[in-house]
Amino acid sequence: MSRLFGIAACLLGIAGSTCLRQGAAPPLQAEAARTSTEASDRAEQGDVASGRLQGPEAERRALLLRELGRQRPWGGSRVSPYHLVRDRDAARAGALSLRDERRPYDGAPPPMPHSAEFGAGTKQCTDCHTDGVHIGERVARPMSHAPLANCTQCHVESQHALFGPPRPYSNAFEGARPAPTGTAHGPGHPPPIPHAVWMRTRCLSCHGEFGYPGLRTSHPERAQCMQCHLPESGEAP
Amino acid sequence: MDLNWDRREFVKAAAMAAATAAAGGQASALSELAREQGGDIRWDKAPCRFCGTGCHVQVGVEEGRVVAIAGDEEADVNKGLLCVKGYNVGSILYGEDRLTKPLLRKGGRYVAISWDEAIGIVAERVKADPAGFAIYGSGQWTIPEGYACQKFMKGGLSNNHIDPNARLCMASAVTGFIATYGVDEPASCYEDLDECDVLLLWGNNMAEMHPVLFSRVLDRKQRGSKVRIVDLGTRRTRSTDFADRYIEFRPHTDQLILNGIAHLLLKEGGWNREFVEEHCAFRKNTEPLSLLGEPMSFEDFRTALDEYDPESVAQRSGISVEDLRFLAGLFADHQLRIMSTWCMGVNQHTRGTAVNTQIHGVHLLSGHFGRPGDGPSSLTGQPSACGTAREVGTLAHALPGGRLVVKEEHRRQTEELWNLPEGRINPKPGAHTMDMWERFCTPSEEGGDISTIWVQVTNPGQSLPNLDRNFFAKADLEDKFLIVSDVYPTATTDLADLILPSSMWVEKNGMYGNSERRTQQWFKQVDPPGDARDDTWQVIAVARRLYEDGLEGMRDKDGRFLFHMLDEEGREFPAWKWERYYDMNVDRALFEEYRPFSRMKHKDLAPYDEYVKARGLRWPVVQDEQGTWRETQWRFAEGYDPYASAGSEFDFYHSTTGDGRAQIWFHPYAAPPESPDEQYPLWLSTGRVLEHWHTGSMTARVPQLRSAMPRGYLEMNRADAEARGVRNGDRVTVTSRRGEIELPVWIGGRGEPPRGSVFVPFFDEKALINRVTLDAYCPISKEPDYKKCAVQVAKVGAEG
Repeated sequence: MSRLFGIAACLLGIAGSTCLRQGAAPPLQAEAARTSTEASDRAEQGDVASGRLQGPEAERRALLLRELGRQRPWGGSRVSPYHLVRDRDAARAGALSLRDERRPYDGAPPPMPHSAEFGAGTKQCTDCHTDGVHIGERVARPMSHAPLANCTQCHVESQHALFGPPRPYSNAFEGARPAPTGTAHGPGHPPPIPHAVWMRTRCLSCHGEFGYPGLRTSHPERAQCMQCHLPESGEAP
Repeated sequence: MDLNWDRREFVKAAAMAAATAAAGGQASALSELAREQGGDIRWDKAPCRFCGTGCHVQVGVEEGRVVAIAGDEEADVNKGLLCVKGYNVGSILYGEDRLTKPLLRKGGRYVAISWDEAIGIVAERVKADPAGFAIYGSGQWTIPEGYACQKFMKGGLSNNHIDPNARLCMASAVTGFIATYGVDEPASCYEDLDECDVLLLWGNNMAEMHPVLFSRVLDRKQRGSKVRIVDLGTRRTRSTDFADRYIEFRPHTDQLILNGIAHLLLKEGGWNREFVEEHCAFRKNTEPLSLLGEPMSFEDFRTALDEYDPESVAQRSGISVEDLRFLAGLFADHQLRIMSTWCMGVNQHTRGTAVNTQIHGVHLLSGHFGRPGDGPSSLTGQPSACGTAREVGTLAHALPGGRLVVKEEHRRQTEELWNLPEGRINPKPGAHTMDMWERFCTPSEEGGDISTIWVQVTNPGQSLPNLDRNFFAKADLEDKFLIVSDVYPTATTDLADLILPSSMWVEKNGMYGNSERRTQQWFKQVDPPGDARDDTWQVIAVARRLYEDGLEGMRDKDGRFLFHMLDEEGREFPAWKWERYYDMNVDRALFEEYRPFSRMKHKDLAPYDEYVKARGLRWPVVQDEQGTWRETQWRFAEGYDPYASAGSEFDFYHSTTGDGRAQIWFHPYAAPPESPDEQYPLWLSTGRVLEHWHTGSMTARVPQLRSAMPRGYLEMNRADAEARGVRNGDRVTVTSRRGEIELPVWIGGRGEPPRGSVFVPFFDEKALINRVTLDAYCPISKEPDYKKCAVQVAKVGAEG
């Protein structure tokens, strides 16, 4: 309880000032960031225009953006710390719709976009999905939850590798869609988390370097996300 | 801890902190409170609709429809985790071919009729032949549904022809428990998964069939625990991939291995003399086989095991002497905590009762019993096989609460609790499942004396063994009448004369009982589609029609309606009127009426309202001195079970010998009724897969599950396939003495049978493998063996 109390106080009262200042980056990184801001802006706009990952070029831009974002300092720079968070509605909408297509409802475990029959052991899954990896144009994201051993218990193939698509069927289930972005409580406040956090406690899975453009954080080096960002509405109980 | 409460407290605290820190913070904290109380999605608990694990889900409802599912973090069973079926359970309500109107077969086609007419037709069938009317129900019946059917049949019609599909599923586990402890259901609980040093899987593919429970052990391993998993099986499965040791035996030889373990424990001193002398007695079977057998001496027991020496067991079972010694060595180590789990591999067995008692036997002989993490744990396949079929006793020989129709005392108690005249209950057991369908599918003129079956919550047209004989034969019998209450068209409704559309899962109130004695409750959260109505209402409405038509059985001894219930003002509540049905909680009324039955066998149930508050409670639930209702983790163990006598350590207080002892059984090996031969050279085993549940009538309508596993298949060893010129994906016929179907082959897929064995899942309604299976059953439990019969496999289009 006391830990949560502290986080709440930080978010609601003093997030815009003390918390951020405590996180000021070393001067060397600040210098690097100043020179790279323009490139960063271009990369950012490219992502916004495309709205989704498209081929190696988009990936390279995304990687560039990631590197630049990493170096961006908090203080002493002409760059606003909220720069990356601004004007990303189109990219975010694209990213959410991509995620949405693969899930029956927001919060459902996504199916595998590849065959599952490598064997059921977790080793085969965790090789790629622990830290995340780029393989050619494919991205394997790190898992969004603490490691659980039996991956295929929840994540099944989106299509059977040998038997192909099923016979026709029809189901009228309409799942809950992802919430729009959380609204910051005031200028400069960190926005709250617009979705449940159960099984999604590893924020960098989607919001880190392997996430879709539009969902990535401007400050992936700050690993303790829930220090400043809290769930907006009732966590899926 | 109540998470919601805690969270509200947290937000309030945050608001107070904000008020002292910054002016803007208070408003946002207060708006957060408001949002939480009036969010768009309303969340409520329910147990998952599928297997016997009993996970709780949180159901998200928006504008009258289920829109999301989350694992329930407050549930002890699953601690917030689900399997892929659970995550998709919301979609089962929305298959577009839901049954929404009562349908009557007229001249080869179905016509929609009114509920009034439908209820009248069922009532007429009852009146035309009261003794030839049967109900075939389910381990998916909610507790109140099963109870209403039980009371209607045995209390109202004096007719014991009521049996559940659980007969095909856990009947051998029941007889195993009764033969060993004198009372049904596991003494163990799921906390054993957190405490065991060794998990022994007896023919049990937990990674796919009980994944949430299996993950409790896997996650311990991953965190560095030294727990070992030993997989005993007849084919490699996903569970094998996670096992520390895999021991493959020839089908049906589990009996030999268990006797071999007992042999080694006795000959080499690994048995637990103190535990056995204090708490056990020995028993053997009679000829013909019986549930309770006869006593035998320890010396006779030891001598009977002589022939099960390691060399001969190894030779006959196909496992190595080293493997057998390894298994015996585990039991001989009295410090280890050993949890055994099993399900259909042991139960669906022509010696199912015997193998169940033998697993209990090696645990008792070595004293591996009743400590946390140490004991035998049978798992169930259906969500309320325990709560409804076993506890309410919707079996042809049983009455509620572990009572038997053959016992006069039990009939009198039941008549008294139901306020019926003495003698109302028929003392003769009714037709068990296999008997019921045989008598239904036999022409009346040849003695087939069951003329009508009312099926509820199950799909026998796909799940009965040897379907052509036990189900499809009905198609030619004009005077037989099949009534089916269901939610979707199935292989069963295909032959139905009358189809009644039912509400399902959170479209109705309900209660289930899972594998660890946990009774669970949920509320209706959305409306059923069209004219679909609750199964309980359907039964009460038929009973009321019969009452109005003057059928004496529908009155209690004071002339009141059989389902007489009072509302809060003390007026008679008309539960038979659908428009009034949810004006009162009928589930609560029926459960409170049923609850006193639970005391005799010390399976005490708490009041309904306690289950509303909990994520299930494990019986016996006993009120302590402070008035708190307390559940029981380990039954019979002093310190855990309030009914175990002081100073006993373990007290088997329903012992069949009346002296607090559990029975260790000797069963000789008995050969299977059919084995591979020249003409049918392969063993066929059947079962489930992760994505689909039982006959797939629900899961096959969920896009995510159906896409992941679109069709049935035949799993075959590569060498057997090569010998037949069969390649992956080729179509083959699988043929037994009973029937033939066509399937694609999957080689090197999810499971891998050894040479000489094939496996086919039974979920696909377009590839009914039960046309091929054998309908031989355990003579004690009457549960058929779906795991072993002889087949031939040939490539489609191949010569010869």
